[in-house]
Amino acid sequence: MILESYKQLMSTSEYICELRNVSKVINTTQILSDVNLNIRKGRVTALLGPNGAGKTTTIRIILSLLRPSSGEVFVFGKELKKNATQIRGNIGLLPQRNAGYKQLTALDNLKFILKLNNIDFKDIEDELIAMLERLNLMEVANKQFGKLSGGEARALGFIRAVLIGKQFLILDEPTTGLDIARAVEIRKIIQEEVNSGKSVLMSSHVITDLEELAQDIIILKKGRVIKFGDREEIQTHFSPGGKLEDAIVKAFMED
Amino acid sequence: MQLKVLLIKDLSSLFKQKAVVFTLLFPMIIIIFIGVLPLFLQSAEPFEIGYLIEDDGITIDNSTLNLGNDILLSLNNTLANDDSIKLVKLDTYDEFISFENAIYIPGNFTEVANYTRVATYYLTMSDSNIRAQPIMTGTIVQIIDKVVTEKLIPVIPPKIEGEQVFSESELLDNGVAKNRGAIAFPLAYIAFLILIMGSSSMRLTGFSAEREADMMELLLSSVVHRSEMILSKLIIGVIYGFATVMAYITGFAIVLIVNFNTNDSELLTVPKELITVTNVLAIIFLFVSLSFLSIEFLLAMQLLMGKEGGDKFGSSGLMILTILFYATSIADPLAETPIQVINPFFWPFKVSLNIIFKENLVGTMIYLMAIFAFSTILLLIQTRAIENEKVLFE
Repeated sequence: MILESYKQLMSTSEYICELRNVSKVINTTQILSDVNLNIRKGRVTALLGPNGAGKTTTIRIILSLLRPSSGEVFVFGKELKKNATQIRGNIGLLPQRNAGYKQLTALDNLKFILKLNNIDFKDIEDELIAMLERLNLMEVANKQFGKLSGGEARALGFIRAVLIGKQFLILDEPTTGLDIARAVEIRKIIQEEVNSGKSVLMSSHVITDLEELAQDIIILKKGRVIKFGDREEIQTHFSPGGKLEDAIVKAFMED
Repeated sequence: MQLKVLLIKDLSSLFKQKAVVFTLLFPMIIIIFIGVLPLFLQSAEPFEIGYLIEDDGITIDNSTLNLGNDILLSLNNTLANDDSIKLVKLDTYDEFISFENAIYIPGNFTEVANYTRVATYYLTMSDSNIRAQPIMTGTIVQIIDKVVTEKLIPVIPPKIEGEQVFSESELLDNGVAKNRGAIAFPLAYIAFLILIMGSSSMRLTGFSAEREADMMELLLSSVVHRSEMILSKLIIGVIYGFATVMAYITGFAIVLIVNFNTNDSELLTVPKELITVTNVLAIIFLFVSLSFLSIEFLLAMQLLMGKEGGDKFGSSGLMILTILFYATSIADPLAETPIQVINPFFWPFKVSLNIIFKENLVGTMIYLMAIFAFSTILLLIQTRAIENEKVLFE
């Protein structure tokens, strides 16, 4: 059902998501100014920027949680404004904060959000068990969400996003708060998902995530895109011959 | 249609909270405790009713009439086989005043009754309510009838009453007031419970609870429709309100069953003629509309003012309106004062009473329109708050 819905949405565009001249004003504050972005299909795109740069707002606009004050947004090649509900159901989101009802078990939380997105539990059961095992979550699956550690809750949120987002994942700090083993495993899973054709928009301050996963990089600052390109291009532009970390720091510092 | 999924989740979240189970069970246990405990106390020691009968009686055509003695005789006959009630003879007026539960028939009782056809006797009662009025002030026939057949004396806590004489038409009015009071008092109380409990469920499953769980972003980024989210919260609040009322009714029912063979069978006295389909529907309307209005009010506040402010100001506002509603209604459940008329929680209460007593059709229609308008405005505020993105910002 989800795949059918996705096929209907997909266009021949090489971009999974496009923002054209998008601006956003919230309470008279200009959050985004004339943002133009093209997120390529089948790649990991890192959305970077110092705090307050407009990353979360950009993500919320793509998810149609916020409406742009001006400009146009296309996801899966379709105009977001006219296809918001259908598009939302095909994007897997890992929000910045660990989300879940503490009275319900980890598994019940997962089942709830899957049902809410019209995903039949039976269709993804095998995939779910495999991921729970890989992320060492089998033992806590029936534990109350409120009693999970921060890392366990994060990993659970990641699984949820992967199961919902059949073609497009938006991951906000996917490895923050995770132990090393789980962080490594999550990076592997992201890579596998991309290899299978999914597109990923990721916001992260963990340099290992960026070094291992990011293929394209968008740098936002004060609500404007200051640089957008593949990783090599960004690295060469800001820190020729240097580390990616140095390039990002320089990009953040640049006026 | 994701409403079912949302409802199952909200119900599951709500009833998995110990606080919720406690708030439902606690009142039920208290009612049972209060209702059943006296039975055990009674069985150990019989309930005592004091009597001081000074009626001099009169002589008419060589025959003597002494209604005081007749009442005593009736009481003795009625209570002859009842071990739970004991009649205690009192000798002085001072004894009568100091006795907890007693009846006093004055010296001129029969004389006055014969002259006016209406007479007064006295009870030491600690409480006076509409239900008690006709018994205290009825005609002689009514007095004997009530005392003998309805056995109301044991369940009326006594206190001294001033002398009152009513005409027959006034007595008739009192009878109507008795019915109205019997309905209006419990309805006002149940409405109060719904307002308090229904709204407390919103702190547990409302939008502030979604924010607490950091779920708003996930919910809004799913395929669920915004209106389904609001509807789910409203339905949960109504269910919780009903659960609360049912907990109380269950408590009362258990007390009634336990008391079935005792003289306390009039613990819940609602005149049988008032138990009709229309009236039951009117009461259901009251429950549903009060739940809806109170929850809508809180949800609107939660969406407009964020997690902290929504609960704080929403709950405070709701509490003020609820207390105003209850305080003004319990003082006189049949009144319609300006302070009540401007309180939205009073509107469904008044509509229900008007339907039950089949009166004031125009006023009922106006109140219904006001309820509909207020509810629609609150729904619009909620929908706009979501659409205008306030829901994502603290």
